[in-house]
Amino acid sequence: MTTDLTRLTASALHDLFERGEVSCREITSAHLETIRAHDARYGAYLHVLGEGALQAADEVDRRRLAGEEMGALSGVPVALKDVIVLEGVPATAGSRILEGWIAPYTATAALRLMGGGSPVLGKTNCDEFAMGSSTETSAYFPTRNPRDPERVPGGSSGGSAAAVAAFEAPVALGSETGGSVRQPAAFCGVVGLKPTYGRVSRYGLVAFSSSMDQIGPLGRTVEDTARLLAVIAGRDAHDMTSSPAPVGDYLAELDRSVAGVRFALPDAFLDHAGPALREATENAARALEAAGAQRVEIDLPSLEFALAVYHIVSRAEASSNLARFDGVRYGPGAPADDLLDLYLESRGRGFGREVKRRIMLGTYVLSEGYYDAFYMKAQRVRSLIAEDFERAFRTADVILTPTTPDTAFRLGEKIDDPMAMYAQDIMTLPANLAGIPALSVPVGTSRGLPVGVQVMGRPFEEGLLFRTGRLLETLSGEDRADA
Amino acid sequence: MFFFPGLHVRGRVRLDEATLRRVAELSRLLLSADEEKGIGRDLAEILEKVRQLRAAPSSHEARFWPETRAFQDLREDALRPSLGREALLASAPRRVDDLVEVPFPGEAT
Repeated sequence: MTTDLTRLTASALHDLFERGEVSCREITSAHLETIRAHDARYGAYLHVLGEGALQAADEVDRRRLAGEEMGALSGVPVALKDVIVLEGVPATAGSRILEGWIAPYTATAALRLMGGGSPVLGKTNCDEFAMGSSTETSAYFPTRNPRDPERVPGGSSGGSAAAVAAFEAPVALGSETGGSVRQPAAFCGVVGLKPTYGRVSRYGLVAFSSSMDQIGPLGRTVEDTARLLAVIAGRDAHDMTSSPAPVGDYLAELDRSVAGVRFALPDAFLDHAGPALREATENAARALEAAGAQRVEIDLPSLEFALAVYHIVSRAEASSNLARFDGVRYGPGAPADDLLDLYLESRGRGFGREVKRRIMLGTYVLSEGYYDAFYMKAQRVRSLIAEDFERAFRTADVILTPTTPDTAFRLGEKIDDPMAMYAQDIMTLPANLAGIPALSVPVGTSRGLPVGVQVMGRPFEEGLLFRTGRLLETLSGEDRADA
Repeated sequence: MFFFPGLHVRGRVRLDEATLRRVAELSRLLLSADEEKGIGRDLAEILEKVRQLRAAPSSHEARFWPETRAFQDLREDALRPSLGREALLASAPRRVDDLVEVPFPGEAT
């Protein structure tokens, strides 16, 4: 067929595959060709599977011919952020300390995708150990924003967002701790979801901050993103924090109206946004009202402490989680006279500056004498923030905010200013602290750069977020199949 | 107890070199002179920022994170008799005086 398959949505590709009009090999091959032709410009991928992806595609075609039932995205290949492991494939987490490490097992989310008929195209670039908001802390190379290659794609899942935006993958998985799916989705003009904590298994996800980490889907449309979540969601015996709550019928939700849905637009978020983001969010609110949704007022009094709480909790958990990278179990051991020297040298050489900064802050706040003052206090305030949201969701069904304070910034603009970089997550990290789901949807552009708005909801109500997002994505005026 | 005298809690947060080196050692990280200077400055700035938490209410109970709803399908605790002393010691290495006897590799025990 003459259609450029990479320009179609994942949902359209799945339909063509199901009807036997196009093979999984053709779809996968078209995306591999696009990666070969364009990825040198964007740097979305760290590792491309090539022949391995085509062999997996052939197996999917064989299964279709045999009449096997597969998933909501069968025939559609995916890209995985390089913090999600795949047996026999390198996994670096964007770090030198894992250079050359081959994963001995496969993450549950990846296993469900492959079992559902989605071959893996490759592993995408990310900030080192998912610590960053620009993909510039990757130890290998920075990824560029396909909408403006002089600008960052956001992070830490910048490679996944760029791959989807550049038609190098129909859909991709990223991971979130403080906004690492939603912020790059907003910067690159694609859809990204942070699921409820426990909605997706974390088995096989390189741990950063275990009480907040979640794998999240990215796609060019809300429907593509909903399909991807439908495949990967659900209880997993390998992850005791995965939830037994039933997985919703997300595709059925997409066709329902938002009439009667109560939404809030809190000033606590709008106050941090630049004029373009503020205007886009207010425009989204007007669209919801026009569709019959009802605007309500809520109060989130503890939100002012969210960034400080996030700094403490995420760094404390990171310092503990990253202790395993010691040059013995993981990473090439550096020459040393004794065990302590081996640790110091291996970690000193293997980790980049941002990772070191975060480990050190985590060690500091967990130290005796400071544990109560910093860590326990942060946990108490985190509980207050979660309760603020619980109270707010008794009045509102969803909360609407800008996804980011501004549009994508230039490469190098914030990399030497950690506080400015951390402020990028101010809109997104409250959802991670509270464990609630949040969706970023592109709603237009400002000076040619994509603008995203965020919809947050109650735990396990991803379906309502998709329903709301489906309406909002029409505001962008772009054909998401060919953005 | 790890006490860091370099933290000035009453005035502006500042980390002295000794404190920074101690935190780096506890973190099992070797820092270059350049990193030491830069990270020290950054940490002080971040700690200054997180001090705003002092204004937040303190009396609130901290929840267990991740939230317990994720564990709701765990089985009930079940009481079972423990293994006896003899059974537990049966698999322990043989003691010779104050030492533990370890077989050579490949040698049957």
